[in-house]
Amino acid sequence: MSNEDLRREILNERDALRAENEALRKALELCRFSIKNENHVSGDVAKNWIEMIDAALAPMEPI
Amino acid sequence: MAESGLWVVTTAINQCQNPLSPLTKGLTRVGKVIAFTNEKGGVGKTTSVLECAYQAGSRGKSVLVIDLDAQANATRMLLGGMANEDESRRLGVFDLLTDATGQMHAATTLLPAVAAWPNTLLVPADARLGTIDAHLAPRLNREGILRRLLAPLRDRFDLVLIDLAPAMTVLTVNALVAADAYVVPTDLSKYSQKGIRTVQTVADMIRSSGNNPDLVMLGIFVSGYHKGIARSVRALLVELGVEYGARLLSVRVPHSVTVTESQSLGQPVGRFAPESPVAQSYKALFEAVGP
Repeated sequence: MSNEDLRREILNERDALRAENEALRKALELCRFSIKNENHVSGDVAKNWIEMIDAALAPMEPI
Repeated sequence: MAESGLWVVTTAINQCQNPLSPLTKGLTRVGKVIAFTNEKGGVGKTTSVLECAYQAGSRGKSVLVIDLDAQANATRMLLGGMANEDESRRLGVFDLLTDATGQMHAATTLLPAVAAWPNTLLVPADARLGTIDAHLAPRLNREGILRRLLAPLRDRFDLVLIDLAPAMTVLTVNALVAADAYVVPTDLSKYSQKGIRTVQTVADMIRSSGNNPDLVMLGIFVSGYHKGIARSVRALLVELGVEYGARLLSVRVPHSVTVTESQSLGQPVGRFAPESPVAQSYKALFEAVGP
């Protein structure tokens, strides 16, 4: 494998990782939005769940 | 958050005078993650999980349901209209358990349940779970994967309910390692009686291995109960009482078409027909085992 091939592969892997991270982050944000807007989730419970989602989101800043 | 809700038997089982007396007497609460298991199928594990989730959620408790059954019936019920969507597009418990990097946060798989189950979140299952044994075979410490994944979430919920397939697989072991306690629904058949013994053997192994020494059996309860059962079948109930003493709950969930009707409408029985004997039985079950 040439250096150029190797570089291309690394970039492809990074793109895949970025896409995966982004997809997971979006999924969490949608879940957060959904919890906030569900009227069958009571205030205290929703607040607690949103804190939980935010804790999961914190280390998932866009790469 | 509300106080944790696991109950421990504080009454010595051999002091029980009446083998059919309720377990709820003489119990102390100490935890909240509860697995519903029996090696026998069709005894009402999923229905029990769904009804207990409804009972807890409708009382304002924060509930998490983890579906560990490849049939994914609990997932279908809790997701209502989403049930027919492409399962392969949904992140679920399979992805969590097989994530070799260990980087995936369990929260990424959470989905809010439909309005019929208030205050309930779900970690969904799908058919891929049927192949999980092969995926996890090469993993070290595979018995404790769910316990580790659940650690950052469990304090966010008043009650975590785990639905299991009727088989003693790596999923059942994971559930019993992660759980504070387990409940065994049973019908009045010899097969189910054997299923309870298998569960007990696995639970004993988990305790003695040190993976979860504090695992507690909350109780056994009878589902699909007919008042007019034959004497020979009634004798089985007495046998269960003798064998399990106070751990045999007084709850008897009657056989009823109400369960099928409520399922077809995508609702828990507790909401569909709250005054029905089935709903009242599940209410009693929740009050016996819930937070």
